Amino acid sequence: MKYMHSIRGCVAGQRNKVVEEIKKQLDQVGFGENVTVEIPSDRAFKSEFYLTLASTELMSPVRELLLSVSQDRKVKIIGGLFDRKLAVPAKTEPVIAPPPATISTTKSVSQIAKKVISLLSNHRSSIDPVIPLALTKPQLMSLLISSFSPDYQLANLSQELDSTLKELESQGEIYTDMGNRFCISKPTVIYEKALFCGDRAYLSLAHQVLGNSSQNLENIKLNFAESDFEKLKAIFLTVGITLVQA
Amino acid sequence: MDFSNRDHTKAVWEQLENTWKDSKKSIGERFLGNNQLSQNSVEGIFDALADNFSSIGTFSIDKLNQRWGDRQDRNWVKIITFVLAEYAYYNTEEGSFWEGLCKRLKVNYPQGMVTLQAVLNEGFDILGLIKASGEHQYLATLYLQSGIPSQHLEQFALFVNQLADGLGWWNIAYRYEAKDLAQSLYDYSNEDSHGLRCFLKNFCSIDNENAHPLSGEILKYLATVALELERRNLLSKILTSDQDREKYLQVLHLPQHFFLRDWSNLVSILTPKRSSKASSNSLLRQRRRQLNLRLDPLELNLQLVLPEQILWQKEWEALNGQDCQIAEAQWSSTILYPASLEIRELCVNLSELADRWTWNLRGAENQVLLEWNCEGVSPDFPLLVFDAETGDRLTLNANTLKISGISELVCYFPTESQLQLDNAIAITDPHFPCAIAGWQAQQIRLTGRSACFSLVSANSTISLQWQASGNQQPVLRGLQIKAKQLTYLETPQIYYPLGDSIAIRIQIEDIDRQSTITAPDTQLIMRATGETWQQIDLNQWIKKVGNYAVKLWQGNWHWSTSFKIQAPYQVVAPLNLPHLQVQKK
Repeated sequence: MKYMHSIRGCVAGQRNKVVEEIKKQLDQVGFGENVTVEIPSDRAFKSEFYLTLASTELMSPVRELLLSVSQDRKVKIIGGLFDRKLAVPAKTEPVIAPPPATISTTKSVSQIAKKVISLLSNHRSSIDPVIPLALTKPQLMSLLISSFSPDYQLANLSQELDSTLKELESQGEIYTDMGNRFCISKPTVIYEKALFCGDRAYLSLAHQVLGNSSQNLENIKLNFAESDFEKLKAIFLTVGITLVQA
Repeated sequence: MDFSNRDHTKAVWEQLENTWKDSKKSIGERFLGNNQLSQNSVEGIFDALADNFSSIGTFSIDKLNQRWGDRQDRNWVKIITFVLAEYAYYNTEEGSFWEGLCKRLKVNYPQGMVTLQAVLNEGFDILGLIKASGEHQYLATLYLQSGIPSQHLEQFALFVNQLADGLGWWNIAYRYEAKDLAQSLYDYSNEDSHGLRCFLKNFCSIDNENAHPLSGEILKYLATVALELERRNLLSKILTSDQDREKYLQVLHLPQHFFLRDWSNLVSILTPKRSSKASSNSLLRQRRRQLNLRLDPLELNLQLVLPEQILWQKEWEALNGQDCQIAEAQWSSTILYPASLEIRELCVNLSELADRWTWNLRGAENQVLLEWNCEGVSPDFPLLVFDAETGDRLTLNANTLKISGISELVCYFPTESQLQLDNAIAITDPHFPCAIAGWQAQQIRLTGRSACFSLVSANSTISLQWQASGNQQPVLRGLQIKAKQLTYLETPQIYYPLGDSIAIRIQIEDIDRQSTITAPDTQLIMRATGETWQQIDLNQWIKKVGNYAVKLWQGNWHWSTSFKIQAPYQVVAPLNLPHLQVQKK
């Protein structure tokens, strides 16, 4: 996974020196190709750099190394490994092929509902991707239309979308925002059913904090090792997910 | 040669036509330069032409028609057009092309120019020539017939070689716009190469925003040829022979509107050249890009956008080390001459409209260093129209009332006026979000082939025509998200409109990795099955997220698109939390 960091309190040109130092220290520790440092090619990022880790196990030691460099250099490194942040999808990541409809472990969700959830979970500002943005129904309509083959029968699509939106809202997956816009709900887990709902950007994290490394971004059925509500609630809260009782 | 003798004129034209290889090609795709006439023969015809003109008295198009007539074949028009294209190719005169030409033909300037352009205007059409557009369209069209004028070929090859060494063929073919490349070629030329410099200036937008960037297009064409040679492990010397070259170029996807008459100087430089993005950026002096008004497709705001640009001016030498700012966008920087000033994309959301917006780059003493303008809304045309998909503004005014090729629009207009739509338009959003006080917005979709809609207010009506795109084109379909560029969450699919059974060529470029994914000469067989569309499954080639460009072509038809495939967003866990130990069991 690739993380973007920003150096605070550095004067022009100092970023590269700090990055050089980080590279040097990484080499000394012997991380080899498991940890790589990269300067963004976009020149708008003057105090930023990327770190790419081969495994999440490396997060802790690398973070300590960054801390020691930042203390030596009297700068502050923020973001990335120090912050809960959306990771930039790495360039080499394979395309997630649209899985067949039967893969979901929950009751069969219609094709349209899946697309709506995926659209709303990925409709985020490019500047600050932490907060998902809202879409109007006409916008959802045109995005749906452009996802079907050109001879797809559109006659009932508007009604289908209406009922899908209502159903998703009643399930707590989405909510209606001001101006009749739709937004993905905050990431939530329903305790009794062990079901994830809302912002899918948090789904893999939900599996991860439970100790499961499900890479399937459609699997909303969670596997609780711990059954105490309060303990679980605390675990989820640390990663920004709310546990609720039905 | 005597134009008043119709039979003789006809015989002369037939001789010329016999040497013209492109005469059998389709209308609009013929290059006059593809001929086997010698420079000496051209000179001969040129002298004869001057004689013919001298006998005519007042040199006007009416007089020529009156004297030489030939309503049916217009052979004298064809001959003049042919010879002028040859003159443009062989011309070695410095200074104004038209002045030199008039002098050579012993006719008055500028009256002679006007008359000759009237002849060319007709000649380009009846000969079915490929045409350039823009302000200097006659001159550009004449040059286009042979590519690069003969006297500049050697020097041109030198500049291309230098530029390609710095930029790399890949970046030239796929990354940079022809306009920027035309500008860079001009920048590379120097005072020692005065003639070539003048020639290259015709294609730059320095003085003329609408200049046709022919030189940039030629460069892109050469880059494509060089990349294909490399990909097929061929040496550029196969381009030396006319016959081999024609055979080889035929199968490539190259712009239709290009022909290079003489390859001898260029063959040696078409060797592999690569360059990284960062180093090439510093070489390319980018154009100043204008401020524009856009609908942000993500947040649905109207915004002023100053595109990313790299600026440099000699006069800034005196300002080295001083601060500069664009107050309108709260942007500031420092001039570090001779380094260029880099401005990233600047956006400002609007809550009110104006008839014109101006942004200034100001120096430390508040003096204006540069100015950008964007036309706003005028009181007599209170309507803003945007492409709903891209958010691009459509330039409409009292003289331009036609929209074509776009299926969905967002219209902004004052609350006291009303949109009246005919049956072929559906309102997709009657209350499109609008942050402009006193204005409202609607999103509308074209459901038929063409339609009309009007903006009606108390004292005026503006009527617009709206047409779907002409021919049926392939479409790209897949789950996409709103973004400034076409962005998919999965590999999109192409749907090709089926007609007769046909084999089409496909080529896919992986922009991030600078490589072509499809094998050379990949063909797809489209079989007429009675279905309306045939799906082309891009999953067989595209397996990773990234940026891609896809081209389909067959004969003279071609279609292209580019898009990004993005992985779903994922939140990454913070590290310093004890519970994360859970995942390590």
